[in-house]
Formats: sequence, structure tokens, C-alpha cells
Amino acid sequence: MFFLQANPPQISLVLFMGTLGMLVLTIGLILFIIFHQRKVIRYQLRLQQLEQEQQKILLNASIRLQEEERQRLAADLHDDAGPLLATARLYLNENLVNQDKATQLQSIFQARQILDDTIQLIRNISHSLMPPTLKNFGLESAVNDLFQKISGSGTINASSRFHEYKERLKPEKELIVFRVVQELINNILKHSNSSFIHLTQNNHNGSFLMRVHHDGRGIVQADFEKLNKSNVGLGLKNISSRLKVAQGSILFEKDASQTYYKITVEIPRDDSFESLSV
Amino acid sequence: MTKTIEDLFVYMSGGLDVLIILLFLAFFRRVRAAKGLWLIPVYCAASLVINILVDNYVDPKYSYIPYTFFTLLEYLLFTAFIYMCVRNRVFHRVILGLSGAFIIFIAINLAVHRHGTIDSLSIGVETILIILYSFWFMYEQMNNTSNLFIYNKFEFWVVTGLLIYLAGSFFIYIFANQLEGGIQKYWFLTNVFYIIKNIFFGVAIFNVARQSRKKPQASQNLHPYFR
Repeated sequence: MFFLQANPPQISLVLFMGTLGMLVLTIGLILFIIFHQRKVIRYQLRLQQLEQEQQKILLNASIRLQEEERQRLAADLHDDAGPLLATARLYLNENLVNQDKATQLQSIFQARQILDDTIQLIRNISHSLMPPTLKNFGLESAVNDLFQKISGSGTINASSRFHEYKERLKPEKELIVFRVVQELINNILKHSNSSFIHLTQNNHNGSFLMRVHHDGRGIVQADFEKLNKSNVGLGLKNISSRLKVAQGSILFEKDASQTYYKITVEIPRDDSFESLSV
Repeated sequence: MTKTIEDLFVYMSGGLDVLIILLFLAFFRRVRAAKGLWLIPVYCAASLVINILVDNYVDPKYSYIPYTFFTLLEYLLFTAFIYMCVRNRVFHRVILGLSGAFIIFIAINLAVHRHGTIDSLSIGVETILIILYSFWFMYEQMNNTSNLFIYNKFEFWVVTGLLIYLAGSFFIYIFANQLEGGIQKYWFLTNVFYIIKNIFFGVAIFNVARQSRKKPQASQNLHPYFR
């Protein structure tokens, strides 16, 4: 208030300094706002770019996996089913009518045997592509079935238990979960050298929760994220893509007792997605 | 500062008011959709009319009356513009509350203080309020990075113009009635800031006109067989 009651020469000085100060503050503030916003936008663009690169890697991995599966299917049909059917054809040629009845019966019997084997082979190929148990009886039955087959081989002790699965997930989500389980089990069987695999299912805060435990060599979350960003680890990228579609999450960790590895998959039960095409 | 240069600034500020109005009318089709931009030529027209009235028809003893009305009008127009730009509902209520209080204050000030060339107190309060609203607008824009850089929006240019004008002429108006010989020797400064403000207004209008030109034309029926 002293300045407002000052003498005229002082008023001029106050006026000059005040005006200059106000201008400097105003222009400074405007410049700060402009530069700050540019910085934030640049940061957001960089984040977007990183996300796009990650999406590209995941998409490439998905395409490569699809091609590998097609090649495997083609190989199975060509190497196994093809020769079997060709052999069956040999038994059923036109000369059969000139053979004696005993020889004819034997040829027909052998051809039938080969056709039965071929039917079983094709059935196995079809089941590995899309298990009918999943479609007809649901996720719990399909997973139990899968674990029983693994246990049945005798090399590893595999068990599964669904504690709270009275209300099933939507078919699309069940398929995603099943594929994730398949992929996890494949990785454990291929790389971990474990003696047991145990799967449990629960519900937690409205989400579907699934845990897989094994006592072999595993990975933790940091390893998973590193592999996801690299060009290797197709299976893990596949898991990532599928869980992203279902808005789920996965956590790789070592148990507190340091004796086994634990993989936790969480998927929300409410359906806020528009389409799931896996 | 010679009279000639002072007059030059006066005529330039008046001329720019006319130019803003003409610019708005020239690009009317392209800028009419811009929310709140029409307030700018209205303000420029009001400013021109008040200045002509006060300079030629009003007794200097009573010049504070038209100036007080102009202060109120200026406050209402600037506040309306910022009100339309800001999205925060709480802030809308704050603006309405403070505007009501300011209107009452101006009425009391006009009734009580009947002297002086200009209504320094009203202008001071108006300046502080508009600067506060402008800072809130800038803060909101700073945090909104969804679409454009802040300087690609016409609202930024208008508010920056307001800020520079009000901040620059704040102390001149505050001391207007206390200076010996009156405010005349410093009036040219207010004209300088007024000119800068109008230049920013012009940039805002050009910005809107240019951006509306870049947008695609009204869609024709690209699939006439789908009727």
C-alpha cells in the first residue's frame, strides 16, 4: 500500500516496475505452459510408438505360430495319414477279385485295420486342434482330461482341481483359458524338467483365477517381460496376445519357500469386450 | 512522446478494432461454428463505440460512467468466452458466483465513487478476476493433451491476448487517478497492449478459418446406389 501512496516520481517507477513484472510473469507462465504441454505430448507419442512396436511383435509372433501349427498339421497328415491310406488302397485293388476267399478276407481285414488306425490318427489330430470336451462339457472337463492324458504318460505327475467353477465362463473365454493352459503345459513339459504340475482354480473379487504350480526350472515376471519384448518365446507371446483379448493378466513368480514356481492367470468374469476372435 | 505518435497508437488501436470486425465478417462462414469467437468482434465494436463517445461526446468530468459500463461489459464478454472454453463444472459455478459479486461491486462503486477520469478500482478487480479465470483455462489446457498442441487452438490465442493486455495495463489503470497531469502521458502504453491484444485476436480468427478450410467438405453421397 506504501507504493500506492507514493510521490509522483515514485509512482512512475512503481508503474514501470509493476508493468514490467506483470508482463514478465504472464509471458513466462504462457511459455512454461506451452513447453510443458509439448513435453507431455512428446512423451505420450513415444509411449504410443512403443506400444505399437510391441503390438507388431505380438502380431508377428501370432502369425508365425499359426504357420507353424499349419506346417505341423500338414506334416501329420502327409507323413502319417497319407501313407496309411495309400497302404489301405494297395490292399483293396482290382486283383482282389481273382484271389481266393481266404486271401480276400485277409486283405479286407488288414485294409480295415489300417483304416481304423487312420481314423484314430485323424481323430487325434482333430482333438489336438479343438478338443470336443471343451465345447461339449466345458473348461473344467477339458483341463481335467488334458491333465489325465499327461499323467497317463507316466513321466510326470499332473493334477488339476477346480474349486469354484459352478458358473462357466463364456465359450470364447473358456477357449482362451484352455489355449493358455495348453501353452503353459507345453512350455513346462519342454523346458522345465519338473516332476509335478498342479493346477487350481478359484474366484477372486469377481475374477476367474487360475494357478499352475511346478517344481522344475521356471521363469519369473521379469524374465517373461524380457522374452515378450524379444524375438524369441513365441508361446509366451501367444499367451500375452490371448490374455490381452480377454483383458486378463498373468504373473510368473517363485514361491516364498523357493521350492516351486507359480503362474497365476486372472481374467475378469464380466464381459466388457466386444469380440473375441482367437 | 510526441502527440503525433500518441495519436498514431490511438488510431491504430481503433483501426484494429475495425479490422477484427471486418476479418470476422470476411471469414464468417468458416468461423461461425467456433464456440465463443463471436464475442470478440462484439467486444471490439463496443470498445470502438465507447472510445468515440468518450472522446467526442462525454464531458471528461463524467467519463468514469461510460468507462464503468464498458468495464462491466468487458468483464462479461471475456468471462463468457472463458466460461465457454472451460469444461470444469465446479469452475463454472465459481465464475457465476464471482460474476454476481462483481456486478454488485460495480453498482456500489458507481454509486459511491463519483469522481476521477476512470474507474481504477473496478478495472483492478476485473483484471484480477479475468487473469485468475485465464490461468485456470491454461491449467486445464495444459493437462488436456488428447488432441492438439495448445497453440493450435484459437482459445489459446484469445486468452493470451487478454492476459497480455490486462497484465500490461493493470498498473496504469490502477494509478490513473493518482498521477499528476492525468493518465495521458502513459495512455499510449495501454494502446500498445491493446494493439497486441487485437493482433492475437486476429491470429485466433485466422487459426479457425485455416483449420476449417482443412476439414473435408460436406460429405456427398459416395454410394448413390445405397438409397
